[in-house]
Amino acid sequence: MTETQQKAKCITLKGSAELVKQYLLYGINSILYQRGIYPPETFEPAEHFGLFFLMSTDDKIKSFLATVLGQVEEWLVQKKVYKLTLVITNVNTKEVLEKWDFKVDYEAPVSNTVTIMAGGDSPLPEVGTKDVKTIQKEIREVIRQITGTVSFLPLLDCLCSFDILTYTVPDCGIPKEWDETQPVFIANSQEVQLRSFSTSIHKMDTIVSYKNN
Amino acid sequence: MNDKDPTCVIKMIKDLRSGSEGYRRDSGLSLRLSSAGVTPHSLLEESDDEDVSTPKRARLDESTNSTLYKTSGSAPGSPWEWRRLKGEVLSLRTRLSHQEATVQQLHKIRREMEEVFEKEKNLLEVQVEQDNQTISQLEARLDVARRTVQEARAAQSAAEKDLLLTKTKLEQKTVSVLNENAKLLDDLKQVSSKSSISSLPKDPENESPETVIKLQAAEARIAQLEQKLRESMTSQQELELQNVELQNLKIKLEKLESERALWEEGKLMVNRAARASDLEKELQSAKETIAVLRESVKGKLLLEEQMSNIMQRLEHTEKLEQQVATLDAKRSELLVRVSEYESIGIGGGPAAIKRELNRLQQAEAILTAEEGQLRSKMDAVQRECQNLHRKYEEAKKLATEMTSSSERLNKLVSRLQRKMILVTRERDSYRQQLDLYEKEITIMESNSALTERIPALERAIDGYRNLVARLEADLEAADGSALKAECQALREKIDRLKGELEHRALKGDFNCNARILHFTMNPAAIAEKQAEEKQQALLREVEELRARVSLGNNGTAANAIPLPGSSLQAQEIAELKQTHEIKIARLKEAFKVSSQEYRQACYQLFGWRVDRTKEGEYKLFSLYAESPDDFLFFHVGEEGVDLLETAFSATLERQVQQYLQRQHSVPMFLNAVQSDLFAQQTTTNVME
Repeated sequence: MTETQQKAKCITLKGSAELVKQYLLYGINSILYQRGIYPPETFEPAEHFGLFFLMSTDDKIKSFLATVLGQVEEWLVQKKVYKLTLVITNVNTKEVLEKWDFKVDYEAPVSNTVTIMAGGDSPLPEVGTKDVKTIQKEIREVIRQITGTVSFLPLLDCLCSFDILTYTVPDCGIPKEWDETQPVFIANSQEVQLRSFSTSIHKMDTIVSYKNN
Repeated sequence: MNDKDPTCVIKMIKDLRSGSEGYRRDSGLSLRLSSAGVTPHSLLEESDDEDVSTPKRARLDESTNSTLYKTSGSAPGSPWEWRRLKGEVLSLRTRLSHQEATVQQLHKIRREMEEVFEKEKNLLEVQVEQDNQTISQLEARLDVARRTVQEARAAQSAAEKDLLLTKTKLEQKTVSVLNENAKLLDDLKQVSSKSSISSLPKDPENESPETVIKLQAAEARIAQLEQKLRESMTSQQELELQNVELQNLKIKLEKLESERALWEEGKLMVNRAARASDLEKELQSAKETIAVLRESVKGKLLLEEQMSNIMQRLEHTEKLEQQVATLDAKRSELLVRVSEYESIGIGGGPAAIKRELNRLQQAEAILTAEEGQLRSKMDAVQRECQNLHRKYEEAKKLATEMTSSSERLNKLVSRLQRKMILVTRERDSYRQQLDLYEKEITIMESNSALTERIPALERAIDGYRNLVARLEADLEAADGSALKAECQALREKIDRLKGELEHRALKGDFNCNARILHFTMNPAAIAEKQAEEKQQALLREVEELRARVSLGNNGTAANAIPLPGSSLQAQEIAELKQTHEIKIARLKEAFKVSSQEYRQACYQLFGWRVDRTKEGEYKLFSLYAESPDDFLFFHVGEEGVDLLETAFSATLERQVQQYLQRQHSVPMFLNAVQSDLFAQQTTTNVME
């Protein structure tokens, strides 16, 4: 009873990382669907956080997202990642058409009392004070905004594909099957900052950049 | 030819006159018609006069006028051009006057011709009168002859009557004589019988002399009668002869009459023939004159055309002259330039110049490239310079601030120095005093004085300390303001840089501290790889297809080798093409047939065959036209229908005036023409 109450009231670092991962998963899927990068029939709706998201049924995409986001979750817990970028490129010309930045800020936990109380010898996981429901509500709103961006983003009328770049700390080790790459730029770009949400541990800023014609 | 032929000539003359007039009027009309859509530009004042006198010329002039108008629409700029235009106008006027003179001459000739015709006409009329007189004389003679014939007939009838009477009389006489003869014979018989009876029974001798006498008398009488009879017989014969003669005479008379009639007719014929030959001659001459007149009219038109041509040429030549003048000027300029060039020393023909030019162009290209580089460098330098300038400005500002602050500080320093001097002096005085006191102390060694003086001195020291502290604070304050300004500027700079950083972060130009990682098997990489593979495959296919195409071009035999799909497709395409071609051909044929039918129907229904010679120009042939050269020419444009002049339309002056000028109805005009032609055709048919 007390545990559920605790869970309802507080959020751990891991829980926060998981929420962020879920947000990224749903957000990326929504973007893939909304921007028409994959055919709409390969998506099917699924309810999360009281909102229907269209999730890809493509196994390749699913496994790719699972791999990448699993790694990202790990790094989130380790606070090694600054930013995630979803890059949409024209397959034929390799031109970057659109860029979705998910910036992560690590907020200092407000209530340091827990760590102080626990003592210095064994650092207990950091705990946020924000309600999960509130966080989910915030995430819903951000994803609704992502859905709404279709109205102003330019039409992608060519064969496109996507990639996820993770901006990590310099001393981060490179996992297997991962590779170092260069940042992408969009010449003459237009940026739109979307809503941000916070789990009181991780603060996510979502920014979309697109080619301004 | 009938009796009306003298008037025929007059009619012909009239026709000629009206024809020429009609021609003239008609041409003028066509001009008006053709220019009906457009407002006529009468730039020249004489154009109205010309309209009447020289229609053709007027049209040409109008065209030139319109061009003139167009050119003058852009307003001659230079006075030289004005002068040129004035000269042109003058020359045109003189030409015009010449033209008018020639026209006048032509008119005079025409009038003379008309006079000659009039004279001839009068002569012919006089002749006609003479002919009439002769005819009347001959008629009178004929009357006389008729009368004589009648008289002769009357005489003949009278003679016949007389003859009949005498004949009857003679016959009666002969009858009576025969009766008498018979009676006498009877008497004689009686007498002879009586005498024989009497002679026998009676005395024959008494009676015999009497009877003899009687007999003798009777015999005499008989002889007489016989003679008379003979005479009557002869007279009868004579009568018969006379009758025969009369008959002969009658025949002769008839013959003579017929001969006379024939002679008269012959005479008339001869007269007529004589006259006809004369008239033919006249006609010939008249025709010749007409031909001459027409020729002269044609010549006039030709001359006008030539005139217009010449004028155009003149304009052209004038332009050419201008060009020549300008070219001369240019040439002289160029010569001067060339001489300049030669004086410079680049002589030696265009090849050398070209070489030189090429060299120079290359050099120029190099120089331009260098210039571009230099320019870019210059731009960079300028930008740098601007930056430096800005920095310099900032530094200057700072320097001025610094100088002002330093001045202030200097002032303060001087003040402080002054105060220091004062203070040192005071200190010196105090030291002296102190020395004095010490001396006093040493001298007097009195404690009370010392104890009294120390607090006072300490107070003084406190006061001085305060002063120093205040002065130091002042100094610090003076220093601090400059520092604050600097601090502010730096803060602003930091804010600006932060904003820039934020913007850059938004754009993706993240701080390069981060290590950017991605999953190697990401969808983009896969898709790119696939796309590249696809591209490669397509390129390969293109190469293959190219090879196949080249093979296919070389020979059809190679067609057996390529893929069945492509050849099949090619075949399909060929079949499709063939069917389409057939379809097109059929459509063309159908269109041709239907258009022919349509045209035929139009021709039969409306009586006009319409040929489209050019865009907007239509030739109309009537069904009832007398010759294939009789056609009407229409220009159908946006501004309406214009009748263009043809030889046929020149003869339709009346219809043109009525339907086109007055009522502005082309269909009614056509209908009128058609009905006239139909009427002509049918009347000629009936006459035939």
